[in-house]
Amino acid sequence: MKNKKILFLLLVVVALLGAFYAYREYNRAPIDTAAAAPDFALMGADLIADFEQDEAGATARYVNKLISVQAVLLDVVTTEAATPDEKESYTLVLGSTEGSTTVRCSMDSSFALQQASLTKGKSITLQGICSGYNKDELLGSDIVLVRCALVNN
Amino acid sequence: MLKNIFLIGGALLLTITNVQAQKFFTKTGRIDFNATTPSSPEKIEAVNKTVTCVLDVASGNIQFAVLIKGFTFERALMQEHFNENYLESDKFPKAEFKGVITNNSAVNYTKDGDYTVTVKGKLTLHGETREVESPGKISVKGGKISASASFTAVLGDYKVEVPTLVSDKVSKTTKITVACTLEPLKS
Repeated sequence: MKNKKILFLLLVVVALLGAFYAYREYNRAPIDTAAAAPDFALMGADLIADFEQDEAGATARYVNKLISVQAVLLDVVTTEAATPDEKESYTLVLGSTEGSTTVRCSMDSSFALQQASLTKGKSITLQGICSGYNKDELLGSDIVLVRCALVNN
Repeated sequence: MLKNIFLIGGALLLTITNVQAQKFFTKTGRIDFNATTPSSPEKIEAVNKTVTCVLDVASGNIQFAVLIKGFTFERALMQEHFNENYLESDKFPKAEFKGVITNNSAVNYTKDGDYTVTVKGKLTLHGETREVESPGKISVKGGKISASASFTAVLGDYKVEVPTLVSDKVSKTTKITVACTLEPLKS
């Protein structure tokens, strides 16, 4: 009888722990790209060279990872909000004026352009999740980072 | 007088021809994805703001390309399931649409205004290609072109399997909304 009670209690504890774990997993927020330690920290030119020289290898290494990249700010693209509830969104384009491949960083919705004091031509550091490489001869190729945040600027 | 009319007419024709010959593009287009059902416990939706789009205003040819891993969800678990179990983005990293505006001649790209169009073409998703036809809108304003369309895709057509356990929570058809503001492509 006593053993049955202990077994029952154990089962209840296991079920509660399982439910707690499932609840936490279900509600898990995406990684905080501004605060988390990057999987890779590198210069923009090196990241670009890696993708240009070995796309498959660079894809396996960098895609879905948090990348910290330092490079010259070439452009800031503002996209109008799609609905009245949303804010404008921003893409910072990093790279060098010599090459046609850039690192395009789609900024996290928490990014505020007015507070960032960005200057084109100056080097900045961003962190974001690498979503892949868009090879395009017509438009120029890009390494795409999403949910990006400015760091140490 | 006649000479001036010819000169102005020629210049106008040249401008129109130039605009007509141009390609327009963006790399910051947007695609919204929604697979919510009435019995979903919450919204199953994602957005991708890194869509590439090229429109040839002369022919009406239009192309979209998007990296699947660029779709962001509010919940990390949902995003992981989307990439790993549904769209298998390691295996099929991109989705693309190649098509044409079938009534392109109805759009005056040199005049500000809204134009209702029909877009027809091939959508490749999860490694499967299917014919898609959708109504859309082209807006011309101050030299920029906005293109938008909304259509539904049957997940089964693209061999995207929804597990039985969540089959009533995830819609078997997904609503896809595309919105792009295009700028002239300088060659």
